[in-house]
Amino acid sequence: MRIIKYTTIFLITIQIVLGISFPLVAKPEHFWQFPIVIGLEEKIRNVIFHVPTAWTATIAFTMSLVYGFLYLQKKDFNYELKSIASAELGFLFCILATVTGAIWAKFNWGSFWNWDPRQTSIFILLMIYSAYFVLRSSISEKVKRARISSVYSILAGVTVPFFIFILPRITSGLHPGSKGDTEGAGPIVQFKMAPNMLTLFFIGLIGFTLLYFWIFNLRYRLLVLENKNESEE
Amino acid sequence: MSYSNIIFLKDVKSEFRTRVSFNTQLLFTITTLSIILFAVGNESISIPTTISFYWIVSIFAAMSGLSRVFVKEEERGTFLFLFQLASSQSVFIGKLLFNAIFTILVNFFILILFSLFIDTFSANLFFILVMILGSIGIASVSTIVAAIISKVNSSTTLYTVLSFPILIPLLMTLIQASQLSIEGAFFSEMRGHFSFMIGYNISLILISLYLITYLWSE
Amino acid sequence: MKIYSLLADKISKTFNSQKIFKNVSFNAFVGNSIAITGSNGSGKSTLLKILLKYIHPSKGDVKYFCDNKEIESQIIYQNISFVAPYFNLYEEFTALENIELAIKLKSKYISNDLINDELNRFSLFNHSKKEVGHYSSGMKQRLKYCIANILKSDFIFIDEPTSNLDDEGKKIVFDFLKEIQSTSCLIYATNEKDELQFANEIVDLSLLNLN
Repeated sequence: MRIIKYTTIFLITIQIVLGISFPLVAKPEHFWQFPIVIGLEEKIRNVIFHVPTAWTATIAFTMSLVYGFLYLQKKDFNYELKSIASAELGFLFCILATVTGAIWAKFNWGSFWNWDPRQTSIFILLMIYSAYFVLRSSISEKVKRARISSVYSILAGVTVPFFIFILPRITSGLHPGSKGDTEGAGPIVQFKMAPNMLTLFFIGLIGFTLLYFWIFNLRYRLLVLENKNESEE
Repeated sequence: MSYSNIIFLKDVKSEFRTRVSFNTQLLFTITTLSIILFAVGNESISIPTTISFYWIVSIFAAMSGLSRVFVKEEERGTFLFLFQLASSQSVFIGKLLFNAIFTILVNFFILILFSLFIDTFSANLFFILVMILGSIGIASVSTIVAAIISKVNSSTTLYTVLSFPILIPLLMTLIQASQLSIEGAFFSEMRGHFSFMIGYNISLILISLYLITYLWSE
Repeated sequence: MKIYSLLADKISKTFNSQKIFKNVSFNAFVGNSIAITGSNGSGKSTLLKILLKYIHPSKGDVKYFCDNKEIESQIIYQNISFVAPYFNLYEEFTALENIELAIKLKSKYISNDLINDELNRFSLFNHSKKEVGHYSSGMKQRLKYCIANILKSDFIFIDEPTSNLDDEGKKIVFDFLKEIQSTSCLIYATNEKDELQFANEIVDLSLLNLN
């Protein structure tokens, strides 16, 4: 666990420091210089932060779903606690992704919100999380709450592939990778990035993923202790 | 006769006797449409706006009435009677069938009202096809979420809160597909949309059949 | 003749950190009917619902057997009937329609004559075409028994057998219990001492209670 902790701090520090400080030049000659993409310029820096948060939010949701499924199968309450920890974290990253995405939208497309399919999809994910927590708050009995919220997270989870992968393909939109974008078609989105920027991007991706695991681990252990405390009363 | 059909016919007979869902949805449809017509007045509305209004009325009606299939079993105390007679899956399919047919009928009714009162609206075969697929999708989501909330405090607010995020992808596709169909697009343009709707409906129904068992017993 | 049995294995139930009962075990089969007794609030209805597999136990297991082979949880409903004051039949339907629904769902096709005989036995023949919503509570209870008798399920569960019934109703139920004891696996919960005569084994929850 300590390895993850220190690796995370290391990677994310690199991501933040280098991502902000590396200059953008027209003809990059050294590895610490990023190329300027016409139309994007400084805004490209957002990619290094926005995409990892969205990616982590999706991972967190998937993990919450998987743990929910495992709880239904095995009835081990620890799975339920892991599911809650993932969901809380995912909610946080989802809010971050929505906000960073809206900032990008303001600078690139003119307004904070455009109902572009991909932008809508992070909004849907945010609403699913909210609905999940509202559902949980309306059930007072512990075991029933675990069962019903697991059912809902699986139900909502089935629709996730639809709005994350398929919908942007069908409907045209502004976000890179939509129907109208000839360059960015791929399973997720494939940017044409310079190699050094791509490296920093992946550092960020891995860093955020490890950050998720670190915080998840802490939250889960806290929930286990809280649960033990409650059972003993 | 299959067990799902028996449950479906039971719900139909019950609805005929009590007419609760029917009256509620009818009232919601007419009220919402009246508000829209009043607000629009004599102005002519664009096609995208008309389509949005259509699906708003449809969703409003659905949210008001479709949860009854499961909620009434809990409220009227008949769930334990059904529990000893049928499996969770056959009950689910029977009620899904009921909701699907009900939604298609309500949407047809809305279609007729829209055709009568709004000039820019002219349905064609493609639109009807989109409408039927959409109705099945709305009914699928509504039925499983109804099963979920019937086991909790059955509030309509919770029902809407839970259904809406799951319905958004379907709604986005429906609205686009409806617009394309009314504008007279060819089938090839809508192929993606149809595949999406069919895939979406099938996935939802399959996962619901798996999940209903976990809602059946405490 | 198939032999049906139900095994209750160390069933415990805790609800919101409160232990209701612990380690309830018994084996029920045709010829060994079980009566569950205990003071009010001792968890009789909860135990019945656990046996029905409507509620999950906190610990322990409930298993259904047919000729010593376990019956899968998903299809247990095919073999059970349940009578209790806390569920309702379809009140917008008549007695005949409720009976018809039950026999269709259980795939038991029974002649109209037999149905009328059964209705007669439970003193409901004259009301068979009335909507159940117009019945008295005693009539509704008798109709539930009528349906259970028509279905002749392998496992019969009853909660408070004579609740809502007058003396005549009680007699009908006692006759029913005497008969059903030898043809089905009978498990019932009761507070009345004179109802215990139909059981071979008595499970007393107030003895198994904690504190």
